[in-house]
Amino acid sequence: MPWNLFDFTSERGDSVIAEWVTEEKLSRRDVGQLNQKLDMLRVAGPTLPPKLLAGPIHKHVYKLIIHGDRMLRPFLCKGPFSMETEYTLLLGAIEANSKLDRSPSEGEANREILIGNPKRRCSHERY
Amino acid sequence: MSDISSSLRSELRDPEYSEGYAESFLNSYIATQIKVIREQRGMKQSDLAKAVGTTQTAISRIENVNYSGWNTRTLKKLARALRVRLRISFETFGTLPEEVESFGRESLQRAAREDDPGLEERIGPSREESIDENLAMAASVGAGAGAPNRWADNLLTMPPFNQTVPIPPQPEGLNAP
Repeated sequence: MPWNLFDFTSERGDSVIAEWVTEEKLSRRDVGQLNQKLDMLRVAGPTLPPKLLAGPIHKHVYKLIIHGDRMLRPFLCKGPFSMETEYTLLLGAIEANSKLDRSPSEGEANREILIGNPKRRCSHERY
Repeated sequence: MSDISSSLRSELRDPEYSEGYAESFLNSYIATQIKVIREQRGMKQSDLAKAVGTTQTAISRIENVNYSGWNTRTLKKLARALRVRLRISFETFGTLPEEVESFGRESLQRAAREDDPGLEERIGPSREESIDENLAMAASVGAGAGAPNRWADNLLTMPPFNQTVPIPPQPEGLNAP
């Protein structure tokens, strides 16, 4: 069964992942790799493709692994409303020299905001 | 057509994007299919490692959607251990959306040589039974026309399928310039 993907949204209602892709000026090649991994998560789920996700790296937060020109590591969580059918992308992150440029606790904070206000997400946008 | 397919068809027209997507898909496909077939055979990573003469760590490394360091020599060894054949082929980008949509355990599994339905012996009529059937059919066709049935006669004098028929000598000068 395909999984549904959602993006956490800013207070203005914009996808934080779409904003991150734009702000970081990701190359089209990296965006292709990012979308491939997200399509795989959507079509095959989290367990069939080996090592698609890593974690939890903090409480309920996982990171998606993309070995592109840059080491993209967007944070996501299962659910948080329907744990067997959906994932929500919480925050964009990049790893350099084995260090993440964002703290996984920020991802967890976004998850908690979302649980308090289920309107703070939108259907996942392709970039 | 699903959302993924329709969006992907448009996105894959971008050369840089399509290369990134296709390379990432290839790595994901290889890693997942090795894992799926290994599990189909009831093998642990350590069993497969032993069969190909490597370590469990090396199998764990290759069963990773982000690993791209494999080569054809390694893949051939894995194919031999999993009792399947390795196929390497170049494909168009247009076939990618369908492959993405159908990606799943069932589409990745492959039967081992000994269980391969494609290698089962075909059960059909013997040569003699085929000739009898053809003769009966020919006789019914010929009877209506009231003419001698040359086709049925020829069928009776045909050599067995595995017998070489000598070619009569050609007249001299046939191949002369």
